Amino acid sequence: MKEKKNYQGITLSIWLLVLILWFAVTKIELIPAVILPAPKEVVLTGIDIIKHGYNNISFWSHLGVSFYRLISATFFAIILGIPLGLLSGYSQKVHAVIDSFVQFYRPIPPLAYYTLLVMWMGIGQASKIMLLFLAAFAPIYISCIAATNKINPNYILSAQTLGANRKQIFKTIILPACLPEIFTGIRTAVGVSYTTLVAAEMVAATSGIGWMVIDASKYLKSNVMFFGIIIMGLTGILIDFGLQKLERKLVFWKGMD
Amino acid sequence: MTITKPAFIDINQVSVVYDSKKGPVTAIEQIDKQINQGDFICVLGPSGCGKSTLLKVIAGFIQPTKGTCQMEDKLITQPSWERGVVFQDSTLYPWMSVQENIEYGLKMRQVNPTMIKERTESILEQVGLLHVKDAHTFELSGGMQQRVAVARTLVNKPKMILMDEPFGALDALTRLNMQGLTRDLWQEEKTTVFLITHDIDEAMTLGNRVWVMSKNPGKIEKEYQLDYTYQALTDERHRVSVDDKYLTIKNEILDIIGA
Repeated sequence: MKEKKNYQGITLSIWLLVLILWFAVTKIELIPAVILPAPKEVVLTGIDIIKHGYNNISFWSHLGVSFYRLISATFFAIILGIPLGLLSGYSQKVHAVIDSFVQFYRPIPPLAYYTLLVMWMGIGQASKIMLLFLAAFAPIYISCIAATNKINPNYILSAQTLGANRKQIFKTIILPACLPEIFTGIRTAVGVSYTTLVAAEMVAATSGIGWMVIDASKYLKSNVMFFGIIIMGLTGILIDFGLQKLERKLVFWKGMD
Repeated sequence: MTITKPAFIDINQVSVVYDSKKGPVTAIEQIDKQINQGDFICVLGPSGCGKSTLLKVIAGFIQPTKGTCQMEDKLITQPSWERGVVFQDSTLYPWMSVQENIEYGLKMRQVNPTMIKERTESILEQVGLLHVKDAHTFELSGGMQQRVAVARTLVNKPKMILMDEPFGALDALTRLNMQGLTRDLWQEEKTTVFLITHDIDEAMTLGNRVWVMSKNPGKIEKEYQLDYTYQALTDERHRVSVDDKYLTIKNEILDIIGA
């Protein structure tokens, strides 16, 4: 416990150092404000955006619409990724059906097929959610396959000798045994879809936190860009923190087996 | 020899050959044995003699390359709850409590809930785990975990229990304790036990039949029919009086397994 505290201290000190550097560099006007705005300016702009919104849309709507996209895409990715990934790891037949598709699209940069999605699904939410879904699906699917390969084979053998059939073993043994890896997959998925979110909002969007940053960049509003990026970073950390909390609760046995 | 009814377990000329990078490896060769209902078989042998392979064949985890293995005249082709297995390392499910682990088999087999409750409670009492029934399995000591593993198998009332070095990882005192418990349960439940061990004393004090195996290829060299386990059952302190015969047999076994 003591060691952990020390390391947290190091992390905090580094951040403090970065802040001080930022403050100092802008104070002596070493770098033009367009390239690196002063912390105070960023904070003031932030307060202004939170109070009055950006481009006549409230800050909370920007954040809300982004989160709506992010959360619904991740939700569908979890709902489909976990069973398909586990089945694909458990059954060679299912693996033969779906794995090559996932491996095919996975390395393609999302922006490469985003225009196609827009043409097929329209310019609204559907194409954006689909894009984020595809980005989030792969890490969850792959972590599930990796997890099934790592299961202690005796877990399954003992379930068989206790009288469980294949279907029961899938539900009562495979799924819980894979939960720790699944959580890692979900955390990666949220990160990847957050990254993709900005790409999606770059093309054909009129609101969203990613759109805000892109729009500000067009007019070199560095303060807004900084504020948006900081908000994205902080919410990212917050989501991951929440997921870790949930993991500790659901996978209470992690590291104990 | 006349056989009136089929053997409980009939191991008929069983050989198992594994494929390895260096070519085929014979794990066990032409094992021909019968196990009767109520037997407590202990299998001794050096590591790599194929003890575990033989257990896997009886359990139905693997199929013999040659020969057949039958239970009550039916070919063993897959694992079944009728042959419960206790592994060396506990394979308890850490996401289930002690009680849930024990109920698992009965639940999967859709035994009716009142029966599940009854049997679980009685087995928890029998193995002395009532006070930890709601604990997580990883909170228990190694000995306690093996108790849960034994209970989880026994609660199913399998026709036979297969144990692969179940007490190998336990300290001496706990091991003695578990040996006594296993002997008692064998007697109370009138079940059949097949136990693999590398501990000669364990084999001699538990089994009514001891099979001694040799290596390369894995074969059963000799069988001893012993009554020390019955002695321990009648003895107040559950101990065996080590006599000259005991020591002679022990030395013979040592010679066979080349220790």
